[in-house]
Amino acid sequence: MKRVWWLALVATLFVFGCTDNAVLELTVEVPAAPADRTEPLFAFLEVNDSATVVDAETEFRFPDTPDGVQLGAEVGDVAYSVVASPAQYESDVLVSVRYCVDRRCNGFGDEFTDRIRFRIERPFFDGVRTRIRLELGEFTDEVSDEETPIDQCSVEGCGDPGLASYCDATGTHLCGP
Amino acid sequence: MVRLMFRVALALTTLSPWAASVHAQTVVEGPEGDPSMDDVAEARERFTVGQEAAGEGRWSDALRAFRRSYELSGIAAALYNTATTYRSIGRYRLARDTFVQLLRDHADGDSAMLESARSLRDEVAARVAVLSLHGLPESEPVSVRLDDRSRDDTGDRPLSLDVDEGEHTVTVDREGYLPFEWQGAVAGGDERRIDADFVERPRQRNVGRIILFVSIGVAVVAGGVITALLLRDTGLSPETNRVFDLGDR
Repeated sequence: MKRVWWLALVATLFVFGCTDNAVLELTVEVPAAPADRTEPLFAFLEVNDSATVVDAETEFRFPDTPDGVQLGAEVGDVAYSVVASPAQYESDVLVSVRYCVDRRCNGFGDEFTDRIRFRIERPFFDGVRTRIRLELGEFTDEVSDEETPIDQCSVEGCGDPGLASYCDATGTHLCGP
Repeated sequence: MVRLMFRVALALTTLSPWAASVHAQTVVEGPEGDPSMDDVAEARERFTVGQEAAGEGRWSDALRAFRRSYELSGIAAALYNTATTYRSIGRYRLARDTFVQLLRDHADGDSAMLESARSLRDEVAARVAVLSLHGLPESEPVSVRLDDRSRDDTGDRPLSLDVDEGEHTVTVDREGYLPFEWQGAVAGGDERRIDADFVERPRQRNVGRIILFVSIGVAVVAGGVITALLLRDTGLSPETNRVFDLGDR
């Protein structure tokens, strides 16, 4: 009897409730400002999906990017939400962080700052909220050009928090294919 | 390790393939009988893809590629790399079982690879934790779930469950009793005793039970409709006010 009702619920949700977005909750651990720094310094984070990247110039040029976060005296977490529609479900998420004197990286000399890059492998699943935490490490002027890949199995979702991996034995993410 | 990877890659391109036998601890099944030349060629391609993915830290892609390579060819090198990939992503139980399968099914393989497999098997085995379930009925099978996945009740009492380190949830369903649930964290190498304490399910009259089911069902469906309509209109909402809406671009 119980199964009948559960089937009815599932069917109802299927008919009425097809969600059409996915959210990646992104937590970034930003470093403390260097002790010898007198002027403010901002961590400016930009995000894009890999499918829309045309070239390095257009990679992160979007107007709706939130303002940068000023580095404080101590390491701190900053939370972002990345919302995707079905068109982005097969894409990786590209994340770039720059340290700038202006909160939107429009200050003098900001165009020469290097990007700390991450590529998060296919983190979106329809109707699912996933999570990932990125650590920038200590502040440095010398940033590596290399992109840091974040494996899909590290993207938290559809399992208890704190699992070593969010993929099953076949390497498929717990949230789906 | 690089030299070994090279050697196993070389083995993949030169050795004759053979089928893996299937036993209880088979993590990845090889082909039945000898693979075709087309299958071997595709296996070689998947192996290369796996190596590239592993080199770039794309472990899920690497795992899929190595598993597929072994399924097609039954070649030991693909199984070895499957095991090392499980180790790299912290799935120590699967890594251990895959190394065990390799040592069992390919005992006449490359000696350096087998020596490495033995060493890594011992290393990962030391990081597997054991949950020991006490208090289960001796002669009655129960339904056991670990982290929402079914585990076989082998009939052993106490019942041992091998797990990777981290948070886990164990649920035991027994006819006539309320489900027993345990949650907790274990570290690699731990052996944790869990005492299953079953509470008898209260008995109800049939009429009362039917009314209860109908009421619950109506409430569930009504709740589902409301939830579904809300979801349909809004989708998931971001938790922060620092939002990147990729869909709007």
